[in-house]
Amino acid sequence: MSTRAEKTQAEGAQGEQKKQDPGYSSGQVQIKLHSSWANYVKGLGGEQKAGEEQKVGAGEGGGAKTNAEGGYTTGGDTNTPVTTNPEPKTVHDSKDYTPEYKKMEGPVFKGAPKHTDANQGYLADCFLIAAMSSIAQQRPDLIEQMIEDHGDGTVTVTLYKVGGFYAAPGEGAPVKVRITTELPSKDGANPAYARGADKQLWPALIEKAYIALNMGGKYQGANSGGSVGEAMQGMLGAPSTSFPTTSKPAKQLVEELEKLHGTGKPLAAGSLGKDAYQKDASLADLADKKKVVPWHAYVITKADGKAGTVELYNPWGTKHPDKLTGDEFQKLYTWVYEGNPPEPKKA
Amino acid sequence: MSISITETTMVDVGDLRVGVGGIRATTYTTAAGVEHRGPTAILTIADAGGREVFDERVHPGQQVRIGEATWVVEAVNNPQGALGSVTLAKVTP
Repeated sequence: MSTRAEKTQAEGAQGEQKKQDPGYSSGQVQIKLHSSWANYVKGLGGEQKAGEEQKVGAGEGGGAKTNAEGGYTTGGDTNTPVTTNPEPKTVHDSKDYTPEYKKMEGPVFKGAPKHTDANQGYLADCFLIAAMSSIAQQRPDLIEQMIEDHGDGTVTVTLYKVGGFYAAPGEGAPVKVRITTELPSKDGANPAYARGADKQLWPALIEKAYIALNMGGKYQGANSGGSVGEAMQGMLGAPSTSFPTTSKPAKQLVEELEKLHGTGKPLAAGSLGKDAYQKDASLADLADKKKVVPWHAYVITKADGKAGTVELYNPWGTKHPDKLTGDEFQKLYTWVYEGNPPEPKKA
Repeated sequence: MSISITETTMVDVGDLRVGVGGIRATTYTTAAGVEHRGPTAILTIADAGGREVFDERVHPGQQVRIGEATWVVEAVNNPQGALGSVTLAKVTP
């Protein structure tokens, strides 16, 4: 699940319109998300001022080296202590699922990162996989820059704390999360959760670091969904933008998506909640026919204004929806999420 | 042996990956020929390369072939306002 659980991040925002639940809303608002940990960090230990050392990621399990207190710091170099592995246990239908940390075979990258590299596993974090995939499609350079491989079984993943109070854009500070390359696995050969389509490790490493930093240090923290926009911000630093698919006529919407895509914006979309399908059998039939999974996050891989069509990538790495008309896209998807990456470095 | 697959996730079953989505109440006919209305789900089975080998709506009691093994759909849970799940039980020969 992804967007249904979108947090109302606008709470407390000065003068901003309250963000509506994208799983159900078809409002006509466009909202800039201004979350930053630079002013305040909410969560473990309460408020924290910018520049202070932050210690997070207190999940249990795993055999990683940790600093003395079992957390990690936001230091910016290879002296950054290795964080405790996030607690690997998740719960499915009231039953515990407990993979164990194993060293996985495979390089961090196999060529330039691609959106098709990232495959979701046994964790309802499509919001996170869609966010990283959308960035990989548009800005593979940022994915590469995000992960520094120390060659000693650890990597440092540069992310941004999200979920805090609103603040002015651009005030977020990067957080360097050093983790081991061990991953939760049941069979010892494949990661239980995110994985690379060709055994590359970067999707699982970003997932692990993001969960350590932003999901309370527990995989279960991401197992009931989250915010695609927040995840984009957690990887890009800059606030993301979201708007309802019904914010403009279908033709204009597709043209806008094509334009945004052309400017290098990572784009994702959240599909309609299943409760809506329950009420409208024709919508449900359309979703089944077009292979759209309800309550799921997708990467918008292409929008063709001339043809009036939208193409999407399923974070599962399979069961990609058929090409949709703008009208179908509006019916089956509720919100569009637009990442705001930094300008590419000039050669 | 059984496994519960949470809606919108994919899990490894042998060399295949199995995903669940689209849980909702539909009308289906049981193996005994009885028409029944209740939660059903779309089960997607893909190989390691992401190629779909199965993508159909299934109902409780239905048997599904996953690789070399036969599984039966033991339950489809469809809680209001939350992710549902499909429980598969392996059929022992």
